[in-house]
Amino acid sequence: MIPFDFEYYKPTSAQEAVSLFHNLRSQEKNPMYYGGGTEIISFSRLYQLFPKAVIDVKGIPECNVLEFKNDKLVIGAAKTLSQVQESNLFPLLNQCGGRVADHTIRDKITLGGNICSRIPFREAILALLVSDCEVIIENKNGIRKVPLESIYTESMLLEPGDLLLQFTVEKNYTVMPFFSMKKTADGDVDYPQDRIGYPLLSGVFLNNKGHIRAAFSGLCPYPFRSLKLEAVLNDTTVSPDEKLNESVQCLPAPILNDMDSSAQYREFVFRNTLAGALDNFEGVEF
Amino acid sequence: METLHAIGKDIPKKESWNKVTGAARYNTDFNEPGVLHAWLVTSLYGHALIKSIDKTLTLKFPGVLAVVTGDSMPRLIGPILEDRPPLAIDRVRYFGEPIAIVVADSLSKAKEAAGKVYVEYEPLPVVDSLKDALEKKYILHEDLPLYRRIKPDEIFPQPGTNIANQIKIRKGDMDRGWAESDVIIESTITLPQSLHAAMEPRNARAEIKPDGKVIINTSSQGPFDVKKELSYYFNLEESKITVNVPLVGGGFGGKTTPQLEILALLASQSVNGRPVKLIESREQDFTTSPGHLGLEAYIKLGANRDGMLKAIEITCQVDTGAYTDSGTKMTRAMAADCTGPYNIENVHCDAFCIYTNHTYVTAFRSFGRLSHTFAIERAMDKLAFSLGIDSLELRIKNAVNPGHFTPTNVKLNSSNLGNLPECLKRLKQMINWDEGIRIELANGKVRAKGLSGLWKTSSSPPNATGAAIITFNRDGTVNLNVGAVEIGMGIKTALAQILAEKLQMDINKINVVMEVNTETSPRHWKTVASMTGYMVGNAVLDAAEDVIKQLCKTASVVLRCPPEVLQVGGEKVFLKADPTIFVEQRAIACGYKYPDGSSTGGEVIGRGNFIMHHLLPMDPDTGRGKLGPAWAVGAQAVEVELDTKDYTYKILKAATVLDAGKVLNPKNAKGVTMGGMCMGLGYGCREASLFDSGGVRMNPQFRTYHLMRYGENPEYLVDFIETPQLDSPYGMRGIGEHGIIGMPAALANALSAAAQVNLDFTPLTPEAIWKAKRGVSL
Amino acid sequence: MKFLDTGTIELLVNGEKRSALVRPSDLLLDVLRDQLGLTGAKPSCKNGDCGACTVLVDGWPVKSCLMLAVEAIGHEIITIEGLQNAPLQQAFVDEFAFQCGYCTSGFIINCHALARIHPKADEAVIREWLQSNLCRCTGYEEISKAIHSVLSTHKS
Repeated sequence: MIPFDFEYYKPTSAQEAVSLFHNLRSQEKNPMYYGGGTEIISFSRLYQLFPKAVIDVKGIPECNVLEFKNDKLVIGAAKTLSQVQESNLFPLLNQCGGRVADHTIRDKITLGGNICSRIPFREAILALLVSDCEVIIENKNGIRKVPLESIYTESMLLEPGDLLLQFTVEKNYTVMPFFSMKKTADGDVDYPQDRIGYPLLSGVFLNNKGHIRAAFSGLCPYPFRSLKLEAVLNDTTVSPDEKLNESVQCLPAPILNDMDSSAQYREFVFRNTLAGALDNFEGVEF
Repeated sequence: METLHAIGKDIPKKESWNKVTGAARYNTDFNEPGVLHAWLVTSLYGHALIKSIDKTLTLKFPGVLAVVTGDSMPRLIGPILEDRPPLAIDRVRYFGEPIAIVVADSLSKAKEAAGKVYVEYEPLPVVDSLKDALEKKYILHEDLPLYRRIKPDEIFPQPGTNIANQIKIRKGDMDRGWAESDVIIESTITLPQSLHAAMEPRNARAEIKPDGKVIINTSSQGPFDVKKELSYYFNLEESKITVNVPLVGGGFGGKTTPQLEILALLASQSVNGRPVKLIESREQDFTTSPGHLGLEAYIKLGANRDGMLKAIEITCQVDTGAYTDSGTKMTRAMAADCTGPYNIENVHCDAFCIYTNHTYVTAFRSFGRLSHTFAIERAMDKLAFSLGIDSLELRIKNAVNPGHFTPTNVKLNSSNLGNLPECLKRLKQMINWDEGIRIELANGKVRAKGLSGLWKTSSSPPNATGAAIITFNRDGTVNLNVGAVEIGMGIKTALAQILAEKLQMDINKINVVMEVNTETSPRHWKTVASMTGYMVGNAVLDAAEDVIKQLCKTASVVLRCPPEVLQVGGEKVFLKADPTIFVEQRAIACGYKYPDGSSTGGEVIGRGNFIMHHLLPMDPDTGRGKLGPAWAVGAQAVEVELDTKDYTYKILKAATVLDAGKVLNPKNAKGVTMGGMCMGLGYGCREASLFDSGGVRMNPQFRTYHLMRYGENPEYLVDFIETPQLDSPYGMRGIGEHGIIGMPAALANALSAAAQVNLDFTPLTPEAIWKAKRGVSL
Repeated sequence: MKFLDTGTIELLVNGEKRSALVRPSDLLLDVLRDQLGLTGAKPSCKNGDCGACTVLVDGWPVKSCLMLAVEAIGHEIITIEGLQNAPLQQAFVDEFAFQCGYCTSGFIINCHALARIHPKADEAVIREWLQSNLCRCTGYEEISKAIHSVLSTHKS
């Protein structure tokens, strides 16, 4: 039960959505783009969001693409995490996105929605951060295409009215070897997708022709990929133990300390994970 | 005649098909035009003065009919000790405490308008722990000595402290016990408050008819208790109150004492008796309605070199939260069973029920034994380690047996106790105990086992009752009407089985009234304490005897013989000596019609009842007394695989052997036991109500309060032994709660063995084990 | 398409066209229960955490507490009331896969979708799907037996 009213719009084109947004904004209706809506609904129920208008983007054709085009994987922002997962076009994204919430909710959560989530874990973005993803955005001035890292620091840096249309990833990234993991406060993960709950640590390691790329969620207050950290991981002159020590030094923010876990334990899990990942890549043909 | 058996059969629940088709109706499934909706305004503070409540904006809100605050019922309530205002007055003592009720013509309006009630608070120091409470950081109930004691023989508040109750057990001679002890261990455990988390949130609907009649529809385990308490609090004749309870979506004790029924009635009163529905959100169910107690316990346990227990000293500190509700009674219950299922002649136990600024607590599956067993069973493992004796052997050696006396000096026999050694022996086989309790595997993993004994009796009032009414349909089929509530344990089906066996009928021809209506259903104390099969089951047998007598009487006229030579079975009444001479049940159940058209006999209506007997309150100085008619004993074990690198673990197996007396429905009994085990493992490994230092609940949702999920459960091994309880239907014992009791203890024992560190707390998260290993206090 | 205020919408539920008067912010769960009388889907957390309100939308399980009623326009909704003698229902009865029954509608709907979409699902997929639902009464073993009994029929 959402204890207030809002207007609901379902445009059929990106231009229509953007112009609706600006129009509603000028009327002070605090409009929000609505993908799966899971967060707008649950946060509104608890008085943590107050949109007076929502713009459902699921009717926009560009937002519903999921295919390879000219050696690029194109994923519409309104594609659900389940659809991405079932398509199996990008196994690393399957695993990261496949750990968000639970399976049934992933039938509703969209890729765009997860990446713009207010809940800080946004695990689907990990796969995109390590794969040179580009983002296609529509706004008043038309369409722009930008590298993900240029508009993501601690969260997505979007202008009012920016509508995420698509994410594109070069095909070669979708077939690289990788390692990914998630741990929650409750403990072990038996199956790759097991365990419902916010991550103490969720991590991906992509082996880009011998060079490890890595991104993490749950460790710091926001998901991140750190080039500095990757430099340490890829430094062949440093012993594994030193790598762990140095890695902890190059985190972009203090380690999260919350009711799920202390910062000390997160660091312990992080070190174990790195050690495991390094072992995992040992002996892999780079 | 061939004997028909309903007892011991895997009979699916009578309401099964309604439950798998969505047709089963719970209390919030009844749509009703014109019903008003209530929403609660609840405290945002763990402890604060209420300086003012401004309802101006709310009252102006379209659709709002009333805002009810504490002044509408300026009195205190409580089942044992009256210490709780139904709506806060001047002060809140826990986060989530109800402050006001907004009544509106739609749920969304009630909820939106509730957000506009402005409560001005002045925060007070928060008693965030038992330590804070005992150090008198703040006295939470200054008027404790003035509070009305509803049950004076079981509540002993200590004025000027935060101690609401102290129960003492003094048995034997402690000096002698310690003198005879060669080894003495000490052990302290800490367990947090947790939640019932029934899938159906708590809710109630109230209405006052123009003739003054109060109608309550509620999701409750105790409809007759609701009626009794409303009558008392609102000064109404019981005949003016009807309580209706349909199927209940899980209870686990959390739906036993009235709370929302009172608030719903206040809400209805505020709108001239119009019907009002009050349904808690999940967050309110988790913070406003009562939860499960927390416990800190200290145990000193002595034994001689041979491992025979000689003395035990126990101090239990129960975190009852802001108010006592059933907290005091659970404190008493754990004291009464304080030795665990072991024979110890010298016992000194002090159990304290202590106020904090946590959520108040009510009955929870096992009524305190879950927590207390953790304390005892950790101590038993430590003692076994100190003595160098196998921990299972230590338990067999000291198991309570017929001829022993309980801590409250009840003499035990095989009927009122059962056979614990046999349970332990069966368990030993089942989990391959002899392979060793700790086995190191490859990759830094360790497989380990831990176990727990358990026992539990009930804590009903000495005059608690059960009753049953049996009527017939014209085709000879039967209707059974009882006051027991179907909360999921299959009690209605079990009672039908008891009746089918007794009447020698096909169970499919017995209809059980699923709902309880206090106007038409015969009274039953409440559906708690694993006692319904015993109490109401006995009443059903009594009613069946009554039916048989009536059927035989009419049949004796028809068949022209004395009733004594007749027998009922197969829907016939027949001559014992010659079953070919009979009359159909259907021909006589509603009166017999002679071939010439005249009639005799009349309607057969069976009535049966049961009342507890020989129960005695506990002596305030020694604890002597008898709380329940019998115990059920059992033994449980858990096998884990721990990764010693990061302290994550898998629960591989969980095993339970209970002495069930007689298993009425094996598949159901196994299911209920597994459900209890799963709940116990959840409490052991992850469940805890988390409060910040201001007493604010940090995890009031399933998203943050984690239950066990599908596939996280271990492989279950469940078995029963059957030592009949002679005064119970077919010898059965109540075991509905027992699956939960030893699970957290067995898990902690297994993980302590695996990690080689004493784990004396829950939840046993990997982080907590990691900290214990590093010697960091939590 | 737009809905600015309370208005009548048409939903396709269990093969029937049903109309309902809704606010744009009304949840599918509330509309199914309060307006269409389909109370099989249960409110328990209303936060997407427990699965008791699961229904099928175009054959896929969706938590109806996290979907607006207006979002469901043009989609095919199946609630527990729309299943008739589905193998999963019989399996749940046979295996005693419920006690209080409050989570049962959601579990059966989810299992039903799983059996249709992945009739040969392996253990990992079964776990991934069924961890979306909570049951507080059982220890999940009976639910596991029920879903396996139906899937094994497909496998054989």
